Amino acid sequence: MSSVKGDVTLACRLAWRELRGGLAGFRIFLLCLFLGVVTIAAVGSLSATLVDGLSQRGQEILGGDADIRLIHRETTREEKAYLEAQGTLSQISTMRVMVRRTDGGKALLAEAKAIDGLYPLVGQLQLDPPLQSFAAAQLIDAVFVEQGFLEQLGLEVGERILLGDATLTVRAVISHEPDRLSGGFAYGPRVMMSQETLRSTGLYQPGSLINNHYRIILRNQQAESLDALRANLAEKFPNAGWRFRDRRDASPSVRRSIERIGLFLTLVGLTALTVGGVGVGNAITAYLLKRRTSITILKCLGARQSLVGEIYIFQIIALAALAIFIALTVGSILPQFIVGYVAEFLDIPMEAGFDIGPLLVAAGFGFATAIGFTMRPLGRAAQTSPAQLFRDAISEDQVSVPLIYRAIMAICFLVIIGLCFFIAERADIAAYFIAGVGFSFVVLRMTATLLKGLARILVPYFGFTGRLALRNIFRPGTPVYSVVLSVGLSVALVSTLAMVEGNFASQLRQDFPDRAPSFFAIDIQPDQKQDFEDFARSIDGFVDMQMVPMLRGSVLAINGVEAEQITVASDIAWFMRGDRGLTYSAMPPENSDVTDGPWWPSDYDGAPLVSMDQRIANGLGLSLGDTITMNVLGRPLTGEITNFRKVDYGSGQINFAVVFSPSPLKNAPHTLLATISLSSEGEAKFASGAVSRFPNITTVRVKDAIETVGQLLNQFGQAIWSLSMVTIFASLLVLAGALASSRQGRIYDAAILRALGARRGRIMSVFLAEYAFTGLVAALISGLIGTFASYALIEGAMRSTWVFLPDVMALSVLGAFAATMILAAVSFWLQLGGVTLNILRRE
Amino acid sequence: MPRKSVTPVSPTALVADLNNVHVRLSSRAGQVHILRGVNLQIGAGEQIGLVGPSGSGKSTLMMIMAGLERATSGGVIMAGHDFSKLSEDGLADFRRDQLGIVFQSFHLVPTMTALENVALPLELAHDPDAFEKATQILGEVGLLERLDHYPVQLSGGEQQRVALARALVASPPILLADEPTGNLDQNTGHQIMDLIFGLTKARGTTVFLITHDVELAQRCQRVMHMRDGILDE
Repeated sequence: MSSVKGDVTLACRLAWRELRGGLAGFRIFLLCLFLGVVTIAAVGSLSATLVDGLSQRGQEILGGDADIRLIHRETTREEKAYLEAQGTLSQISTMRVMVRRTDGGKALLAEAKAIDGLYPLVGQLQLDPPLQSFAAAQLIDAVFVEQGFLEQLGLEVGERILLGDATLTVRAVISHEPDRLSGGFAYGPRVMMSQETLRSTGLYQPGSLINNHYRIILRNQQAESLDALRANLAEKFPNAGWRFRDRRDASPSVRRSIERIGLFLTLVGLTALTVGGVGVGNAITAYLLKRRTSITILKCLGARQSLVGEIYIFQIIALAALAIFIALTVGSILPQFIVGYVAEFLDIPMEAGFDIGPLLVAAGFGFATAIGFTMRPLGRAAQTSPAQLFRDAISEDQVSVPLIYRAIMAICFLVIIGLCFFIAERADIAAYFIAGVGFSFVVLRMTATLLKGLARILVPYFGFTGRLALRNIFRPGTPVYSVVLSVGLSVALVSTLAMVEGNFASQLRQDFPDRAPSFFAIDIQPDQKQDFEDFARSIDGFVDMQMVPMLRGSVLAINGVEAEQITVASDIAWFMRGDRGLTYSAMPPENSDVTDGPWWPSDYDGAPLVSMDQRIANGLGLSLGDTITMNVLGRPLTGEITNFRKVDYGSGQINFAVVFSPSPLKNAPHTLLATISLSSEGEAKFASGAVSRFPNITTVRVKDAIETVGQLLNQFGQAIWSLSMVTIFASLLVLAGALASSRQGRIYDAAILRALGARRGRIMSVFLAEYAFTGLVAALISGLIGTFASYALIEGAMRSTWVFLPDVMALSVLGAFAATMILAAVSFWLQLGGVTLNILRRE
Repeated sequence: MPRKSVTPVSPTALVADLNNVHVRLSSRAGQVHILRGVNLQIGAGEQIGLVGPSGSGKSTLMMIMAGLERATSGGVIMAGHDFSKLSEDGLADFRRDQLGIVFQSFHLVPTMTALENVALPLELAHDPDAFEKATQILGEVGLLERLDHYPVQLSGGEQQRVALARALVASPPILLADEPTGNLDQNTGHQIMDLIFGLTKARGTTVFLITHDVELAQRCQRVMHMRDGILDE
């Protein structure tokens, strides 16, 4: 043991002697590691800060300790009495509405919110101008709106609007709505009013898509009381059909969005780190090559192989620790500057915090990468034969890597894989990423090997410049592997992102609008059905219309097993979560194919039967004859599944995962949902006519919705592209390192060529031809990798239809190739500038 | 606590006992027979000079004696250690404890000072007095003012003196010197050889010297000749 301890001490001492000469040779090593780790640390820290912030502000965001939501209906007397007994109770109602100017001008889709006298239970509603009191008298016929509402309608405070059957006055602008975030994604600006005012509009009708939220401030503030309340509500009112949310997770949709965006950005950072790992490996290879003399001297003097390995692994760990420490410091500070912007965007006060978890994950990735990518060159260096000192020329023969180094390398890569699964919300996302990167590595290494072979074959077919260039590709010590890997990985990432973004853009702006209707209309009362249909058909440019009943319900049980006890795959978890739209129909829906089982007769009037989305049924392991119980309007409704359908949600047409047979839902209070397809000329007439004739019906222009989604995707895409620049920069660093490592050989070659009479331009053309060939092949292969990766992502993970975009691929491949050539040209020009025949004199 | 040395298999007065040693190396051009049945016995304290033309196998013989390469066939027993029974770590331990080597190109560790270079063999043996002993022997070779200088700051002769000090600091029974004056001018070379013979004689160190210089070889007690892998006395 003392001998082992002595060896470790000696190794540390000798490692320090090696390092004290300075870190000049480690710039690329440090930078490559720093870039990847700082990205992962910053993204992880920011996500954790935002999620923590949501959690700490949970009560304010939610508007209480708990939010109990009902759709279509209010609480019964018994339910309300129970809730009031738990603490202070406040009711808020929300729905989407169409608001219009009193002069019959523009109409606007808005998010209506009706409050009571106790609102807000937590935080402050800030209005401009401020209201002196919230007495009921002050709130009659009054609305408070967001600034965007006024801007879009071209109105000012004090002017009037039409909402349903009522004419209301804009009293103030909402400066801050404390519970805004709890509502999740908003389709339109906020318009706030009292409960009485909402009822005066005539929009509050049975079956309307209205959400009634009951917010409570509990008497007992302990966390356990929240769990007890949830359990008691489920026990006392098992069929109420309400959604329970508490302050510990006030805005799950926002939290999930933050986590998912954070995950994607982390994976981009991880790609940068992986590319950086190649640079790390190259830097260590170059360093150990310079140290081969020292290594062989140590071995001649009697140093064991293990000691040699320890000396350099300690150096690598020390340098990695330095880079990672700096990266973690920067990575934990950066979010402090960004969180303010995000808090402003989300309209909640949020303080920058410190979370050690993401930093530990980033450090884990960093160390595993640094050690994993250096084991191969270190293992080879440790195997260096000390006999080479007698030959006075250090050979670069490839020796095998000892088993211990391979084992450590494998462990490090397993750590990286394990951390990927740890940070990923869904295992399949982690698996896709790991498979993609691993596949890219394998293919690119094979490409480099094939490239060397191809170059060897092509030599006789080229002239002087071409022959020299091709020989450089397969000469000993060629950097072709590093060049292909660094260029390839970044091009693969760029082309993957470009193809995914291109596919989304294509679907959003071209494919989807071609198939999608012009308008969706919701909250059509049954007695308005004929009038509305007549109106739509009367519009010049009318193409088509579809109208179906619509209700909402949540899954209570499958085959009698409660929903909470059922484990589902993450890609269909949305179906079991919260409430779903559902419908009833006597005939099979137009937009889906029955794949298994018979449809019920058109005059069927028996016990409820159900038609289900085949994919969801497969995910739940359902068979024909199984049952599903849903809570609809506060009552459990159990139906036997008699057939499955293939549903195309991307068609833009009306589709429901669950379709019931008509009885008994046809007798329940509900509204109708319609899609209307019109020519462009007919859209404006339809929009203005529908709002004025049917003020209770909300119409959503599909192009506007696509535009909103497109803007969000753009912002998301910009964040992804910004971080992908880190990967591209890392790959340029790696490329620069590969060029630098071969610098000495090239300068020597250039000196000999100059001595023989070659001009500088000719020498440059040899080097550029070499990199043109290598870079082009690497870019093409990785463009194909990116194309395949985008296919796997879109068709596999996102279950959408992939389209090959040759222009996008060509642009990303050529762009990367151009970047490679520019870097190589600049590097060579600078190197050749200093070449003199003095180099030959030293020989 | 200094590390214990490798226990010799058979204690003997011979420091080198090579019997019918053949070395064949494979290369792209085919197999090369470098040493052809070399027999060599060296007693303790002897000074052996080996001369021969380039490519005759002199350096290969030295590498076999140093345990840096393994013989294809034949017996190699150095200072009582049968190399065929030693692992790579065993050979490393042998070099640490029993051998000092001086190279033509000095081969000092560039990132270590003169003192650190000389102390290195003792540090590898975990000798607690490594730096004191290194200082002492650097004084013997006349470099007390150069303790903290790096190799790049020393002349060729000074570097070779540091290399010599490093080779002898652990008082090894055997010194191998491969063209120790090859990169030095004549005067400096003579000074180095005077030091080699002086220091080794005082310590009773067995010297095995490879040289092109016949005059230098004749300063040794025995002169051997090598040609085409065959050793003659």
